[in-house]
Amino acid sequence: MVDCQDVVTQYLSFLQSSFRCHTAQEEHRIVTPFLTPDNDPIIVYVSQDRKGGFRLSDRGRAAEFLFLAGLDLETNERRMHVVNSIMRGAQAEFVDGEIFVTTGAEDLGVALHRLLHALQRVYDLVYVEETNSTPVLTGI
Amino acid sequence: MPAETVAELTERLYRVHKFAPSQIGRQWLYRGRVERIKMPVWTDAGETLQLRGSVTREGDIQLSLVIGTQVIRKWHSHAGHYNPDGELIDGPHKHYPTDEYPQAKYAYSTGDDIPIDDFEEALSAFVEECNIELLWPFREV
Repeated sequence: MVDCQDVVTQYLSFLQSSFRCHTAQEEHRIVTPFLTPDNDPIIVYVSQDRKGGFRLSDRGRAAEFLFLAGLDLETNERRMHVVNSIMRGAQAEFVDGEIFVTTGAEDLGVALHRLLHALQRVYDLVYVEETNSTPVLTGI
Repeated sequence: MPAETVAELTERLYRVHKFAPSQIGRQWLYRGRVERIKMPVWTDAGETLQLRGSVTREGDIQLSLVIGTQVIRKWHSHAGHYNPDGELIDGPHKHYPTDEYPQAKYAYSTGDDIPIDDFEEALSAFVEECNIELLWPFREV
């Protein structure tokens, strides 16, 4: 049996080699190995404010993904309830379609983990809606 | 009559003639970083689809044609998409659903067919490729 820690180590090694960073105009753009439901990479933007704090954001990409799949978030109370629940669980924020976390320099790793957790769950709302909208596919 | 599969349905709706009264239901929504459009599209048989689009402040353009919450086609101006079989599409690309992946995980390169630096031009090209006829002169309202 393989050592349990080896599995974790291999996974972390894979993750480390799979993130790609790009820097432009005092902002980092991180292309992650995690994929949206349509197989585009999940991208995170990191910027620093004047007080030295950091903001990790998706710049509204998840909300736009859902919008382009026919799902309006802000005008749907049920979907917003789910989104807000996800935000509470991941300690992230959803404002004007943007999902983000703010943090200090010492917690950037945890903050990125929280944001990615929130983003993946929000992206996956498209699967929930798919299940609920079966008549659209069969009733035509 | 048996129900169409996702691939059959979306391919049919992509190809059939459609029309859109461009001055009705076209709305711009400002959400800080993104401007959106949403407009109805109809097939000659009366099926109602939607054309949706957004452009970010940074110029990233996305356009989609949907029925309900099913994507028929979705175009991204940005590069960097991997198909499920591992193929890299390193440029503007158009997503399409299959029966195996209704979420439109597969995409093909659109090359220069759809302009990537002007939203109005991209929208016009996408509309034409999707066989959507605009009934009135296309202009912002």
